[in-house]
Amino acid sequence: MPVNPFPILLSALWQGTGPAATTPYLILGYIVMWLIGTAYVVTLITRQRNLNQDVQLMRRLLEEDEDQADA
Amino acid sequence: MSISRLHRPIQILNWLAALMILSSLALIFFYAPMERTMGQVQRIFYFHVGSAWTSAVAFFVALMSGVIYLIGKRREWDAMALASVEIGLVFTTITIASGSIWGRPAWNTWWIWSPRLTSITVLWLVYAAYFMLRGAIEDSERRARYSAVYAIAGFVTVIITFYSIRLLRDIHPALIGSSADAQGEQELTSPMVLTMVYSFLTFSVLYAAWLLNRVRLHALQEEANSLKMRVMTRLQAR
Repeated sequence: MPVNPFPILLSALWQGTGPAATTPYLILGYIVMWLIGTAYVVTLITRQRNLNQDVQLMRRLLEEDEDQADA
Repeated sequence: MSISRLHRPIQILNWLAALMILSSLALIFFYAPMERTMGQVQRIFYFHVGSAWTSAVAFFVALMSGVIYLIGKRREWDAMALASVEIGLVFTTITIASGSIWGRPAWNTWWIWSPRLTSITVLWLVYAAYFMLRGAIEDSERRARYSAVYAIAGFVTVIITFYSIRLLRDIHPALIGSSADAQGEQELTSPMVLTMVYSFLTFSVLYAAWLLNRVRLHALQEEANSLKMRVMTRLQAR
């Protein structure tokens, strides 16, 4: 009967074969690093979106003002 | 450089950074062997050291941008220094957080006020204060000049942090050379070294991508401010 290797692999990964079961710290470490990196990328995207909206609004206001001046 | 000219290189760098992060993770989890003493948690090492290296590069770029700004007084270099310090601070935060999590199983504590951990905390605070300085000065020319001097002087903390484990007794291991009393010293095999070098490259590309994104953001901010001034002038003229 074939043995499914995945539970064994997952178990080995979780417990480790070293002196200590340190995998939870590994997972926590990578989650925290990803969260910090992702948070920074989100702030970059948000700031850029807000600035683009500001630029478009100001351009529209200037165009409207020029149209009024022409009329 | 105009904003539109940055779009293409930013797109290329963003995709390259994303691909390199994924391939770097593949190397870390499927190629690099497990370290015998510390077990799985040692795999934090690749991103921990990579982010530490990149933060030092970022602060060095801020230093050089400060010097160039002081010589030529071109505002692009002030934008470059600002972007680089901001990104360096993000990488330093990643380094501190990952180091603390790694330290828990390695040293049996989340935090210890050893020379390395103390000096990197001081470094983080010094560069966080850079933004307070910028926020406190209204005149843009004076702000850029003071910030440039501060970025140059602030780099002393990077040098102190680098040498802290080599000059003082520290629990933190040194990647290059050895430190007395270090716990968690590791023998790096060839696949480990290769994975580490690739992580360095990955973080360098990620830094370049973020830097260009941040410089573009600054240019957009300048454009928005200039348009706001024009609108205000028009409104006042009515």
